[in-house]
Amino acid sequence: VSPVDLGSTFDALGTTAVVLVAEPGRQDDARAAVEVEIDLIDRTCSRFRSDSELVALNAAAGTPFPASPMLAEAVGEALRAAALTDGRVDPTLGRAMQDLGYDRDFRSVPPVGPPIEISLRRRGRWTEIDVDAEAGTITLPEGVELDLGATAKALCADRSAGAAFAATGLGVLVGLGGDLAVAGPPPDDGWSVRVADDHAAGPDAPGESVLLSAGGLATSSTTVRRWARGSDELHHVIDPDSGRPAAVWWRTASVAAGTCLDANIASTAAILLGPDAPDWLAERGLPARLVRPDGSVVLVAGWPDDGGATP
Amino acid sequence: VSRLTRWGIVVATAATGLFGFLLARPVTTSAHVATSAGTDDQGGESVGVTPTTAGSATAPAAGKTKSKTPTTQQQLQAPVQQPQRSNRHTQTTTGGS
Repeated sequence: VSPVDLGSTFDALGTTAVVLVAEPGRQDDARAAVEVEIDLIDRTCSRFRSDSELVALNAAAGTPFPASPMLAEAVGEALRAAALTDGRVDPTLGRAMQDLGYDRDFRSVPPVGPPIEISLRRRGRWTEIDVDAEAGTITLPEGVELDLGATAKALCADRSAGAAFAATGLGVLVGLGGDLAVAGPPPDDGWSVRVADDHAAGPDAPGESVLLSAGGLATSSTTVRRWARGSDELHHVIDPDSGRPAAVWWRTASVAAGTCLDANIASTAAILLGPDAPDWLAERGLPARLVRPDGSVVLVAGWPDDGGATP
Repeated sequence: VSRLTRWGIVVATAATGLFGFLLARPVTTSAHVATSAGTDDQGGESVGVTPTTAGSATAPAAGKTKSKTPTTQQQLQAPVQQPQRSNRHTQTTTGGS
């Protein structure tokens, strides 16, 4: 049975969704369950849909906003990401993203444009966000706009994998733009995953392959979603200190964790941590593969060595 | 023993017992950090605490989350099984997006 027989690939959330099932016959059920979750997260957390709940929340900054359980969960996870990374993975960078020109689905962002001015903003405003679960409200401080892009897609992958497993009773892997979540018993000894610069790369792309049996695997990269304004080359991982794209210490950071969300929090933090990333990941027991701009690789916390096969 | 002394002994014994009770009982910190196995768990109550890394002295202090809803894992979860080297055909790819 080929991988194609076990699943499907389709466009979602401005990227590619992959749904794999450990045994043939239930692919449609798995995909249907995943599409429900994707639709929910898109309607709730999209920065680019005028009718999304997140857009309404951002417009209501300064006043309590009645939030759905999904939005409350997504914002709660984004705040957790900020707390666990000392504010590096900051959900309050929505305006910084807009200032940089990333103000629509990336496929519609002009690849080049005139120079831009970056205005510095006070760091750490995520600590001022009030999530009142009893009242069912979220209150953003005035002037803050949330961007849940660093966490919502991975959260969706975890939820989707759980939903597809519940629907089929079979092991599943869900990938959303390279954020991978696994649920249920995997096939054989695990799902075989190519770790590359770009999630859309083929199986022969430079990188290495690993077996993933549980939890999640995510990659953050400074080589994709790039655009230029004036003479500045920009990417989408923003340093909250400067409001600008993070310095490129790592080309990609791939991290395995107990969930896809945690893997993605850690991989994003690794890009932002730069030279401190290996120690930070090792202290947390998170296996990681970090690739420098020159292609040299640093393996952390038990990430398997490919025996020198990495180009 | 005078009546006054007997009363003194009674009062001192009661005070000692109360003091011992207060010392022996479990202490609950005001900043209770709840943990759970995952985001779907209906965990404990976390009032006035923004998620922090358990035991971390450097985690930002913030007090805005009033949660009676599911509490979330307060640390990044390490994988239950490490990724292994694969020599099989590739089924999917992780990478930047």
